[in-house]
Amino acid sequence: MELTRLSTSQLQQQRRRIGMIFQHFNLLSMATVRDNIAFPLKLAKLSKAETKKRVDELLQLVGLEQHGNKYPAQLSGGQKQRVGIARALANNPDVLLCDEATSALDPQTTNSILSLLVDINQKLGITMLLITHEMHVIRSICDRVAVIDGGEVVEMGDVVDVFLKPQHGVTRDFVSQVADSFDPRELIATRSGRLIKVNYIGDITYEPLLFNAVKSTTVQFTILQGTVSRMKNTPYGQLVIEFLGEHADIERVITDLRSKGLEVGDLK
Amino acid sequence: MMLKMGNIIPEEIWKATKDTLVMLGVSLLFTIILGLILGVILFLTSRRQLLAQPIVYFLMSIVINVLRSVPFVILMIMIMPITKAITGTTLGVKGTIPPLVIAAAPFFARLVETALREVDRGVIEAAQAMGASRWGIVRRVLLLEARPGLLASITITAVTLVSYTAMSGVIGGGGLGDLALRHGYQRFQTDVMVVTVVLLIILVQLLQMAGDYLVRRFSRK
Repeated sequence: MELTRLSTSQLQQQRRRIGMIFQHFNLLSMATVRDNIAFPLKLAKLSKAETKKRVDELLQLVGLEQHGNKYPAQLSGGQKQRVGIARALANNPDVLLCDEATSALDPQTTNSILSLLVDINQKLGITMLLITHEMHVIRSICDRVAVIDGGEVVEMGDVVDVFLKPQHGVTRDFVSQVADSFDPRELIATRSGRLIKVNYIGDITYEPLLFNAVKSTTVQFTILQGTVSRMKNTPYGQLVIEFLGEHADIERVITDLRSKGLEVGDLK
Repeated sequence: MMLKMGNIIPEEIWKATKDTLVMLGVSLLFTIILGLILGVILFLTSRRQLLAQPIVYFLMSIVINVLRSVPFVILMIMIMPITKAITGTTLGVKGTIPPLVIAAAPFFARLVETALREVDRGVIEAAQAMGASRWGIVRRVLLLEARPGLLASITITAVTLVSYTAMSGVIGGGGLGDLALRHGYQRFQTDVMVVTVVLLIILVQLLQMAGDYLVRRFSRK
């Protein structure tokens, strides 16, 4: 549906199918937590009893059962965002838009809000769209990511792919904020062996692939630099390895690694 | 010099006080209704707001500025024909209420506009994102969020109306101002003057205290 072409009242109807949370929460300061959550329900003309029941459910979902009658000024930032989330979910929307939802929060609170979002995502099966400049937010809860530069989508794909193999300059800049970006030139200058870079994603991360590849050969290896970690639930590794040994053996090892699904590139 | 209290007639003072309270109450009520409507329209039609009608805003703004720049005593005299058309008389309590409302409503409308501007834009944006209509935003967001500011505006307007009611004595309005003018000024009865002024001071104090209490009571920040 082309939302920008709708009439005012059609747009109002569609907007009720979309939940939205904001960087600065945007709660009614003069209304209690309950009344804030009830706001979209009143717009949808729910009865008093239904509204009360739904608000109770939502308070429980976001863990604010104790705070229903407080005013936003009496809550912490994280609690305010929980109210925002409850309000956004009130009418069972199809999509939840999170506009820099954690940018005004401290790291611990950010994590608690993120785990709440993941929890809701799994419980309710609702699609979530996060707008953020915080890379760790994307790494910890997103499945797919699109990079926008100057109003254009310049890159889009699974989070693991985009983070490990950024194509666009803007993406590389963003990703380098979180990844241990390394400069291999110094290594290339000082090491004598064959330097290669290995990338791998998925279950093979936890298999002894390197050992298996070299054990029947003369090749020895040293890991010079690297990361082995997880992105959301996907394990991945990025290593810089030096191989020492006979040339033909090293070639065999590399072919072997490639056949197991590793991505191998020469640095020297 | 001891002030002689021989000219005080309690019944007259009481009647004048009652008249002042009636004029104040009725004119405040109409001022709030009219000024609230005008203020909301002013706010909505101003730039980058929900209706954004610069021409409407400009025209309303001029009318309001004109009404606000005319001194109340002159305005009262100028609109006598209108007053007569509405109430049938230009004298007494009834004849005073239309000029009071016409003078105070534009003033109050400006205060309403200012109070609404203080409402966080983000909250309006959130209400729009939730699919609220413009009227829904006015009713459920703007008037609710601006409540402390609106209560303070009503207090200021009420105090202003008290002084306007007193002025209306000049052209034959009723109330304490009329009493002070006829007895205190024209008949040199200083004691009557003092009593009416003290009563007006007490009235203003009470209004201000009540207003301040309500503002505190409804503040959530």
